[in-house]
Amino acid sequence: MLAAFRRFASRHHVLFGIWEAMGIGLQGIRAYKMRAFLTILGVVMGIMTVTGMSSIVAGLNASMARQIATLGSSTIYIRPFKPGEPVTDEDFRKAKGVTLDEAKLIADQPAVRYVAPLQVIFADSVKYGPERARDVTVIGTTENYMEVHDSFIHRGRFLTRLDVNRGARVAVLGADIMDSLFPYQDPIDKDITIDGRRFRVIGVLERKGKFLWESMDNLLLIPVNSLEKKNQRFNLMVADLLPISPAHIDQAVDQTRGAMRRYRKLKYLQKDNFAIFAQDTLTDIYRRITGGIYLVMIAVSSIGLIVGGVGVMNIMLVSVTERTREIGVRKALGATRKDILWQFLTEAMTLTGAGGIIGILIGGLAAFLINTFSPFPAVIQTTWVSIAFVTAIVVGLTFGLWPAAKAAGLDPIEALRYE
Amino acid sequence: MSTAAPDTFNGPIIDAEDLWRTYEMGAEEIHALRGVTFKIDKGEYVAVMGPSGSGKSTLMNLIGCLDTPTSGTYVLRGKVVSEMDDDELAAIRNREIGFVFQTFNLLPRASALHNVELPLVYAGIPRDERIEKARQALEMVDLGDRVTHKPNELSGGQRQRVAVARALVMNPSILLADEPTGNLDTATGQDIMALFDRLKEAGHTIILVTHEREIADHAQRTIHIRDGQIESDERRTS
Repeated sequence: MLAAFRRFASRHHVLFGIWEAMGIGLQGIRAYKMRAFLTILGVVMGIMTVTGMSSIVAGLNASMARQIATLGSSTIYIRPFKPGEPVTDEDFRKAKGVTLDEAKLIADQPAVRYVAPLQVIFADSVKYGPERARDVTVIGTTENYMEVHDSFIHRGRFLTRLDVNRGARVAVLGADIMDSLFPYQDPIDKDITIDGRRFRVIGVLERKGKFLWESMDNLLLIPVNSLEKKNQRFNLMVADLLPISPAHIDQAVDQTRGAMRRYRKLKYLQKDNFAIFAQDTLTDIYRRITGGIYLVMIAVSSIGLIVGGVGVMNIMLVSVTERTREIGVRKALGATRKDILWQFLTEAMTLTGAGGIIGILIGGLAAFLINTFSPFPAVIQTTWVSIAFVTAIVVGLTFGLWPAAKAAGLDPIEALRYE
Repeated sequence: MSTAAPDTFNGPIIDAEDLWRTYEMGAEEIHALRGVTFKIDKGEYVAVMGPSGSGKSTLMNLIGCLDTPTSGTYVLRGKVVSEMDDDELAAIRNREIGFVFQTFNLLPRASALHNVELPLVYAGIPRDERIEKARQALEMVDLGDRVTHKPNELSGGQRQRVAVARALVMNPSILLADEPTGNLDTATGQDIMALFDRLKEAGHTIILVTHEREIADHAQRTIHIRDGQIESDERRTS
């Protein structure tokens, strides 16, 4: 391959010059290893950032897609506000939670299969004997929770309609809660206290694992009617629902919205005082977040590349001065301005290109290590790696231009006389 | 010389007519050359002598096409150099002039072979041919066994011979040597001068800039420069 390129290059003057200059550039790097490395450190950092961060973001994206699937990809959410929407105080005052009557109404819509109302509170402490779990999410819900959230019972049983209707003081534990309260015992039929109120454990949910970096098992389910009435203004009830099939998401959203508007007697021009959205909205928000990460990545790497570029410019200026004599000799032997310009440009590009390769290697290694030893998944992105490499070369070209032009413009007589 | 191409050009190699070179130092004008006229024929061996400040270096720069005269015409092998632009001058230097410097001026990190290859690189000659020619040139100066050596692995005399090989590799019209023995001891200097004598025998045109009488005596013609003018132009019939 290399030999073929050599043959090809030797037949084409410019390419040939590039080939020669690349050799000269590499010689320079070899002769001053430490200096060259320090020079291109900025470039290395910049390219490393791009390689590493794009890998992590892509990895997160992939695992997000997988986890969204485990969340139940066709789940529809009814919330007071759309996620990511700016909320004013007025909106907040007007917002109303879902009521149990509304939940029933929604359940009657033809495209809706299950509705699970969710009353979420945060318990300061959940205790069993001396064991205690802090900051637990307690969800008051109905027997439909399991279907809507694609959850499974690990042990015991789930809430039944009967439990819900009579507001039984029973609880289903998330896996994390079981771990902290019942490390050595069977939790079934034991009595726990949630902020001082006594509940009997009837079941344990199967472990769901993490969504991004947050555990999905640090929760506790109780019948919605057994919750103490809290201040409704600050504790709006929400609901999640499942359409009859993934193909009916839009219909389910439309029907639910219509039913809610009718029930709440909203006028034609009045805005919804609730929000309904499906999984893709979440995905969109996620995309926006990762877009932000990309922006940070580009900013960080730009700084690195500019610092690196200035370093390269500096070192090339030093190199031009140091090699004034050589430039004079080359000119005496017949090098044109263009030859000298290309020689130094190619050297600069070789320098930053080498920095780019080192950056890619370090970034790739970092991505690999992160993927292996941390909860973040990382997948190396060929596109971003290519962009990074090309950018490194362009930095060399840009910042090498002035020193190269300086070298090319030297007067051969002066240059030959230079000591 | 076996590598010499058949030359169909019959006129003088150099035809310089009333060369002036003026430098502007602030408001002052300094005339480094004041109307220099001479001709050099093919195969001549000419020494240019003169004290420092005589305009000798300026004349050498003009002959070597590193500079152009302020006025006057300089014709090298039928081409009017005095009106050329930078790129044309570079091409002329590449093809017509072989420089040998006092300080050798080899690229320190490149092998002897690569140093000799350099003019061929700028001539755009393919690699295989380049290596072949550079090797031949090095053999001609008896350095066929030193091709991979770097300049710092060679003696002074050997370095200057590499420089001579580099000067000859393009088969130029003139070999322009500026104090070629100035950085060498007497014995090594003699070797280099003997090499020049051999090249003269082989038909090369040599211009030697020096301030040493003994060195100049190798040439058959000596041009003395003083105060920017030709003081004398003597031919010796040997």
